[in-house]
Amino acid sequence: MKKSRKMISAEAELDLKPMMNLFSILIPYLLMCASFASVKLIEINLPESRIVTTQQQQKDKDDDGLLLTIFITDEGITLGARGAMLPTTFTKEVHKYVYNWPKGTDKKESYYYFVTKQNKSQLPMCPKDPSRRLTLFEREEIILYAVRKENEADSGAVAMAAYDANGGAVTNAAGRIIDALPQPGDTIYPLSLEDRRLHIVKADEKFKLQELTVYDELASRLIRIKAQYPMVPDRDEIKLVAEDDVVYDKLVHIMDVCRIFGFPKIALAKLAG
Amino acid sequence: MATGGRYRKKKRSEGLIITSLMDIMSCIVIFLFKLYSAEGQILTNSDNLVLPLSLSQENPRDVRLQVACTQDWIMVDNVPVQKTPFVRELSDISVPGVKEKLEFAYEQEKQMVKIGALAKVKGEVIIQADKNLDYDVLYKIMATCGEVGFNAIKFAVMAKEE
Repeated sequence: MKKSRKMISAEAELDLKPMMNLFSILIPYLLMCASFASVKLIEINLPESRIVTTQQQQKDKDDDGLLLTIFITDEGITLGARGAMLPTTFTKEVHKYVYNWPKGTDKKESYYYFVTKQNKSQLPMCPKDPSRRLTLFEREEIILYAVRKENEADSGAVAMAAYDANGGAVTNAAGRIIDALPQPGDTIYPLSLEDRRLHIVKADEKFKLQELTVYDELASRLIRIKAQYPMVPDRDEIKLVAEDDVVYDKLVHIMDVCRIFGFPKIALAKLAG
Repeated sequence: MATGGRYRKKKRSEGLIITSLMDIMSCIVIFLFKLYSAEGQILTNSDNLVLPLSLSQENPRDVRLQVACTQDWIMVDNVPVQKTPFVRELSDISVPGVKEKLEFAYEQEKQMVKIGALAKVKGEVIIQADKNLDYDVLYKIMATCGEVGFNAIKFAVMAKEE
């Protein structure tokens, strides 16, 4: 009696080793194939088919709406609203290329290419390998620096702004970006829509002057507009108007800024001519 | 005495206890499979289609129609229908070829409402454009979508890690 029970319990034990073998191969394989970059969506509105509204609402918007619009051209970015245009923020465009060097290896080199009117239609030569040009697929990022100009003829210099240790721009109470290093005791605010907490600069804090990007400049302007017109009927809406040869990547970046800084309902339109 | 005790212990744990390890592994395998199926359908995989990075947090939902724009081809539901350079040269904003395809898809959606498979015609479309595409082409594609009736346009982008 005792013996037979023992035998049954011995039989019931599963041999899991082959399954283990299978799993230990499956897991590295799946991990290798898995892409952890996830796809997200950006919702946009066509300018003709605005967000569905009643006629009265639409009329209100047309009468007292802000009609905030961003014009994106090669020269710069201009904010416009009903009956008024803010001065254009002129831009200096820098393309960051990342390419493999030496050839056939996984080592990466990055190269910053300054785009001017003359060279914008062609791709730069590879700095390490003069026999070829860099390709569009090696262009990783489009960086736009804000340029300050005294007058039309002035070619302008890249504007500098104070950035904190985390790389975020700092602003004054009104939301304007500070262009000189803050001194201990100064009050500053982070460039953010929700989390604008007053911060008093301590003696041991480090700030650095860095080239001001157009995206930060735009964010600062949007914050100020949002604060100034909190009650307009179209307070969440913004229209982006771009030139023909504006690259999609740049557009997505600007849409990101609009969405984060208080204008999530984005419509796209085209600059005539 | 001490050696005897150690010896006895060794004997008891002779076979490896795999069951708990198996549990962990099955969890990992299921997780990895789920990772695939979550976003399998909306991606058009192509070497020259690099989506731009964005901070958007909106997750892709079930959308029937997708338009992909690369430097060479415009694809509707993974079928190449028009060359991109041709679209760029076009003076009209409505793109032939793409328009017919979209009209067909719109009719299909209407049919589905008729037979009750859908509640209403939503007119949703996902545009996957290469990040180096110029706005001219993109605008024409968007205008074509809008003309046919696909008004809820969404751009597919890659999530940027902070």
